[in-house]
Parts: sequence; C-alpha cells; structure tokens
Amino acid sequence: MSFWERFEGMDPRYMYVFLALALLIPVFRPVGMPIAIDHAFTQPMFDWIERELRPDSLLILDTAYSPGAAAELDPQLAAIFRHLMRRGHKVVLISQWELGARLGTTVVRRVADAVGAEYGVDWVSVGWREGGLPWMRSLQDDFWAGMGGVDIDGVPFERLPLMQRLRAFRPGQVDGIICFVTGSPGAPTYITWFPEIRLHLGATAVMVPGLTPQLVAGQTRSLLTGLRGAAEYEVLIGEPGRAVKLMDAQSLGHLIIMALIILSNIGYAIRTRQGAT
Amino acid sequence: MRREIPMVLATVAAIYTFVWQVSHHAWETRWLTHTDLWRTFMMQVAVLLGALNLSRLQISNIRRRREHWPYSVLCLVVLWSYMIFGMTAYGLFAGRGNRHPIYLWFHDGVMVPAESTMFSLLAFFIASAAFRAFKIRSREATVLMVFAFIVMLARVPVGQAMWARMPALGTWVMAWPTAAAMRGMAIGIFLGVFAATLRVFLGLERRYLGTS
Amino acid sequence: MLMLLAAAAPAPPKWGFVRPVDHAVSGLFVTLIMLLLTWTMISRARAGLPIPAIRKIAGLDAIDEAVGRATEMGRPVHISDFASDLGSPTTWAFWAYLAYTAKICAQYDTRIVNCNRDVLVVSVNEEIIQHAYLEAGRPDAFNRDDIRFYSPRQFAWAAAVCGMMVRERPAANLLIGAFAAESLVLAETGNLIKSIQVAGTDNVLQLPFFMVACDYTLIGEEVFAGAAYLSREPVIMGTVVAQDVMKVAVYILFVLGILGATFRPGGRNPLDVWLRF
Repeated sequence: MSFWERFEGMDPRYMYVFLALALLIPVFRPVGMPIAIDHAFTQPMFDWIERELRPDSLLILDTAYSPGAAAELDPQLAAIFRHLMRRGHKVVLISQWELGARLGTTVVRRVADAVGAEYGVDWVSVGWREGGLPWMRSLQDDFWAGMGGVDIDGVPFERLPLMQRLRAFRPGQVDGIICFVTGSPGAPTYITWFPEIRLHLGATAVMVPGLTPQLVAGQTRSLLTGLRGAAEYEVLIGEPGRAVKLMDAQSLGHLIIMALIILSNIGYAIRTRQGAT
Repeated sequence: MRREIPMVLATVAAIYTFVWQVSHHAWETRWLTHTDLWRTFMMQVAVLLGALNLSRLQISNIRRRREHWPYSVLCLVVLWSYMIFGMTAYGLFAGRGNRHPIYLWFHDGVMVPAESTMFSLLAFFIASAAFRAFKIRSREATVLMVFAFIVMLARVPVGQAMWARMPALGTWVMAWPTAAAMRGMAIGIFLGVFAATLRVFLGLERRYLGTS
Repeated sequence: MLMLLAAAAPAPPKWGFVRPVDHAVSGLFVTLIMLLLTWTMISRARAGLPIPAIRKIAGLDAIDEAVGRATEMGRPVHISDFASDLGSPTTWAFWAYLAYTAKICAQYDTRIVNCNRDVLVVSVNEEIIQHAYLEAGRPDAFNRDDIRFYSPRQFAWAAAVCGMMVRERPAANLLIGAFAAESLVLAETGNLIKSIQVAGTDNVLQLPFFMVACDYTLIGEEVFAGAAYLSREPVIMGTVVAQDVMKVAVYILFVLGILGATFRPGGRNPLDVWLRF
C-alpha cells in the first residue's frame, strides 16, 4: 500500500487532532491579521445604527439561538448592543428560543454593566414565552398582555420605565428589529409578520447561504455572518474583542481543511493514474 | 366516528389557521394563542409518556446487563432527579421558576456546555466529510471544489492577505450564484410542503390518525 | 397629534379582510389556485383518469439495497426523522418511507430501529411498524423497544442517536425528513461505523452536509415525490402532480417578471403592478 493510499484511508481521528491544534494554537498566539469589512453584509447594519436611526430609537433584539450557536452569536450581540448604547438607543431583548432568552440576557447584562447602561431605562429583557407564531403575532396587538406583563425575572412592566413606550410591537413604537438566528423559528417570523419594521440579521455561518436571498431581495437590510461578522463589527465600532482574536484560529482551521482536501486529491490523482496505466 | 371527528377537527383547525394567516384581526390571534396554550399543556403531559418510554428502555438495558448499562443508570438518575427537582418545593413550585440558583446552575453549567460541545463537533466532522467527498472526479466536482475554496478563503483574514479582492469575490459567490440556487430549491420545497398541507386542508391526509 | 396617531395606527386591511401586505394577498390567490389544482388531480387519480406519471428517484432503490445489505450482515436498519411532529408535512412524508422500510425489514426478518424526539410521533411510528410486521405475517418479531423516544432537545437527541449507532452498529442508516445542525453529526457517525446511508431533507441548509457524507441524498422536494412514489396512493400522487404544474406556472411568472423588470424597470410594468395588487 503506497503512502497516498494510506493517506486517503487515514483514520479521521488524526484529522481531528490536526484541526484541534490548528484552532487552539492561534488562540494562545494570535497573529492579528487585518479584517476587511464586507460592504454588502456588515456595513449596512453599522450605517443604519450610526447614521439612519433617530436618537433614542427603540429596537427589539431577538436572541433566537441556543447554546450551540453562542460562540458565533454572543460576540455579535455584544458588539451591536455596545454600539446601540453608545448611540443612545433603547433595547428590548426578546427571544423566540427558550434558551436564547437566558443566554442573550447574560451577554447583554455583562456589556450593560461595562458601559453603564441602566436596566429598565436603557434596556429590558422580556424573555421567551410559549406559543410560537400566535404568541409573536399577539404582541402586535398588545405587547404587555402577550408577555404576561412581566420581564424575564418576573418584574412587572409598570416598574420598568422603558416598557411604557412599548405597548404594541408595531411601527411607530418599534424602530427596528435585529434578530440573531440559528434556525427555525427565526427570520421568517419577522419577514412574514412584521414587514413594516426594518429588519437586520445576525446569523451563524451555516445559515448564511439560506438567508442571502432575503438580503439580496431587501427583506433584511444586513446580515452579520457568524464569527466573521462579529469580528467585522468589532472593528467597525473600534473595539476589537473576542471575535477578532478568534479570526486567526478560523483562518488556520480553513487552511488545514483546504490542505487536507488538496492532499487527498493528489493521492486520488496518483491512484487513478496508476490504475489507468 | 373514531376517525371522522379528528379529521373534521384537523380540517377546521387548518381552515382557521389559513384565515388567520391572511387576515388581520386581533381576536383571531387571541383565540389561536389560547388554543396553542392547550396544545402546550397536552405536550407537557405527553413528555411524561416519553420519559416513561425512555425509562422502560433503560430499565431493560440494566436488567439484561447490556453493553454500557451503567450509562442507563446515569440516564435514569439525571432524567428523574431533574424532573423531581423541577416539580417540587426546591424548583418551579417554589415560585422562583427559572431564577432558582440550582436551575440556573443546571442551565449554565450543564446544558450550555453540553450543547456547545455537540455543536462544535460539526467543525471536526466537516473536515473529515470534506476530505472524503471533495474529489476531482468530474468537471462538476471540480467546479464545486473551486467555489468551496473561494468561499472558505473569502470568509477568513488569510484570504484577504493572499489577495485583496478575495472577500469581494466570496461575497459575489454568496450573493448571486448561491442565492439563485437556494431560491430555486426553496420554491420547489415550498410547493412540496404546500401540497402536503393542502391534503389536511381537504381532509385527505389521514396518516396522523395511525394505520388502524 | 392627529398625524402622530395616524402614523401609529395599523394600516387598514385590504378589502376589509386581507392583511395589507403584498404577500398575504398573493398568498391567498396562490392557495386558492393550488387548492383547485390539487383537488382536480386527486379526483382524476382516484377516478383512474390519466395524470402525469412520477419517475422513480435513484435514492429509493438505495433503500432496498441498504436493507438488503443489513440483512446479509445480520445488523439492524436505523431510520429516523429529527424534526418530526404530528403537524409537519415532512413527518407525513417520512411515514411513507417508514412504512416501506418496515415492510421490507419485516419480510427479510431484519431489525428496524427508530429514534424519536416527539412523544406523539412515537405512537404513530410504533403502529406503522407493527402493522408492517403484521402484514408480513411476523407479529412476534416486532420489538416495541426498538421504537424509542430519546429527548425533545436537539443535541441531546443527536448524542443519543450517535450512541445507539456506535453501540448497535446499524448497517443501514436512513435519515429522512427535517434535519437541522445535527445532520452532519449523525451522517459522519454513520460513516464511522461504515453504514450505507440514504438521506433526504427539505432543509436546504443541511443538504450539502448530507451530500458529502451520505451515499444517496433525496434533494428537497424529492422527499415528498419519493413518498408519493412509495405509497402509490392516488391522494399523494395527485398532490405531487399539482405541485409540479404549479411549479411550471411559477417559473413562467418568473420569466415574465424578469422580462418586465428588465425592459420596464421601477415597478412601471403591468405585471409588477398586477402581482402587487
């Protein structure tokens, strides 16, 4: 058995070790390669928050994700929330996924403490409720009734000044939606039922091919793409954080996968040529 | 009657949901929200049946001393202790719901890392799947591989370091050829789902009633 | 003040009933046309009148091949659908595959294992498989413990299925239905244990994973067409034909729309106006 044949039949566990090393080493020894901003996917989100939104706008941030996607979407959420607070906007955090409510709140609370945003005045987390689409649509008629009148920790809305501004999930009261998605339910809820409110998305990398048609069609105005999108946003707001640090690991990970594919193809070419002769 | 009543119910529910989809009245949403809550309650009762099904399987593993049976013991302990915790004075019935520190610990310390770990396995599995599958067997396979390389390089800084226009090329691939293919497939799938749903609408779909 | 109130008030419904959004109106008409088409095709199929034939899909032969191989090796067949719930069209399609596979397994006296995340689906699946064994004249070979409920949570379910695969080493792995991020985890585990794998999903985002990791993949709507082919029921055959007629109509509209947008851009072409009502 030749080297190439053995290489092609390699136990996948060796590959996993190579990949683990490729992902780990840059975390401890980052190179700091420059990150370009995607003008179609990322830049519109920044421009919208920075220039288009009126001061003191109220935005709904939907953390429709589970812990699996947290590595990609938590940095996006943190960077966007930081930017929103810097521009003086207000945020109501909601979630279409039950685990997303707690995850999103943890991330936002950490950033809010760092930037001095006050709970109940600058941001509120209302959490998740059972009921799926009918529940989301009921918020269009009466937000307070749909949420049971309490936030994620059971605090009545009457005690949260920001909630006085949000009686119904409608244009005029809500100036925009930013949804962090990793599957279903996710973006289609807003595209179908809230088309009058401007929508922006943050998605895991694997979701991007499925959501790009919506971006091209204008149903969403921007689309942050996985960890890369988070890193770009951190660069845009001038505060490089965890996502920027992890981009080197992603670079090396992709390179390792490409190297493995090229080597396996060399082996395949040699084997087929030998077979032909 | 055993089959007719559920079928009539399903058809009425389908028609109601359809009207709700295209119309614009708050009372319809309110009514549907209530019915959805009933469904939720029923599902919670059904979960108990699921727990019993799972327990039966695990107990059978333990009794027959099948391979890896200690894991079955672990499964039973975790399943029932968490359920009992959630339904007693220490958990949800204490009135603090998901803010109880032990519940939060379960969530933050067990559920989040366990789910993240499972999701992160994808990175490893995609490496071995790509290694096996991306072979230049035909012209089409070669095109597929070239585009995969372009997108992989475009999404990371090293691609930009190699060629400054690489990110723009990746964006073009995603925004045009990929989006076009995705649309074509999505329309076909949408019509497939649509046709299947219409069978319930017309009272022609009976599989959910079982075979008897 | 009046202007502010007018801005905050919801837009009036179209024709006093339909939501004031373009897609609600067009959706209503598409549904009515599709309803008529489906009804016609089903009636024709039931009456024995000619309707266009459905071609056989290559992946369906692979199911026979996979079960045959499992029988030769004396190992079980595993068939599962991740996102199955009673109200999902993919679950109804999955039942056609389950009934077909269970029938051949019962005939060949091969064990069939089915793993679920929805408790209500477990009972229907149990009944389908039991019925297949009964029809094959082997009711005693039916094993209730092989139709399992693992967990409603995505990755807990995936971990349990992977564990089952590694322990029980099914020779055939059939993953048909709605799958999400766990698709590749299952397919690669199947690959590690050298199962012959047939997959099919209506989730376009998971198709690439199945295509690289499985032996045969049913792409998108092929899942529904395959179910019609396997069940040979006039009701399902009729809906698949109606779906194809509708697809041709949609593509004709596409071409007209593209021509309209190219030669009279900016919403001035009559087709654009007509489609938006």
